[in-house]
Amino acid sequence: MTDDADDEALMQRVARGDETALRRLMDAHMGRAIRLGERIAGSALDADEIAQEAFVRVWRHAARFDGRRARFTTWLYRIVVNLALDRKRRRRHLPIEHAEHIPDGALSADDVLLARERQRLAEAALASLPERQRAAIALVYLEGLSGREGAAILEVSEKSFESLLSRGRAACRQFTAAALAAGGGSNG
Amino acid sequence: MDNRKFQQLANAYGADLARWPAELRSEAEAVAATPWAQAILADAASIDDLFAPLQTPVAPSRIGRNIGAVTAAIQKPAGAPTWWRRFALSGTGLVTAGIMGVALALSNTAPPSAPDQGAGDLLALALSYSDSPLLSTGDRYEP
Repeated sequence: MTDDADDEALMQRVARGDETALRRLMDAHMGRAIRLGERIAGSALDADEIAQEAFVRVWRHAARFDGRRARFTTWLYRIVVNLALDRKRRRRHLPIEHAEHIPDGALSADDVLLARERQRLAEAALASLPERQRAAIALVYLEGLSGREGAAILEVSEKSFESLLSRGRAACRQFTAAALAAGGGSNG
Repeated sequence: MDNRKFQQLANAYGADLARWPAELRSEAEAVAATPWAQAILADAASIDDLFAPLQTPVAPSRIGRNIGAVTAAIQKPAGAPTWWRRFALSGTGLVTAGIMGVALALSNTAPPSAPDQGAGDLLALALSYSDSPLLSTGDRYEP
């Protein structure tokens, strides 16, 4: 993992065409870019393409990066989020990939206690959210960013970002309650 | 910090005060000790727990595949100039083309007694310059 100063130094080298520097940035941040892309786009295949495209853009546009205006991770995550949201908008007419996980009475209380089911439930809850709420949740709860950083990435005020988080969490709570009720469970 | 503000922040940032805005954290910690706030945080923690399974790391093999794909992509840029475009756009190409142009012009105007000798010399000169390091354009088109 690199720190911010390392990232900035590496970006200066990337801007000069240093592939080794890009490789080091990818070693440090590719995993998080994939995970963030997957949580927003809702597809592993899309996430791989999004993360790849994001780093190709980092390579091509490195000279535009200004470390005085934003951390590298903020810049990178903004690229990932925008690519993921664009992809979701283009595919809006298609059924969402996680539709199979929407509560349909198939979940039992015992299943929900299993780790695998917990993961599926969490994925389904996140997938059920509007895309910007999903992005806000992913940035803060999965990637550990602050509200200020998340707001900068989504290009909204901190107050608006907090609203996205609150509504997203409330919707996830409702979704989970519906899933558990449909499965006949009392708690998870 | 009043109760309403505390509730708003818990709704947004959950039970872990480390996620809350840094400038409000000390105020929040003072409120968090009260029974009322403890109940709010316990409720918020139940939603935090929902997201915990999603924090799984990405498999190293998958990261490696994606890094490999990016490396391949940047080493084969779209619309890379062909060899003749690189030659034509380089300083070497321009100088060579100029000398060849003069050579061709001379070949059309030279007297019949010395047919094409001057043009031939200029053509040879042009071709010799085409590889000259003096006319190198540096790494402008290098991968």
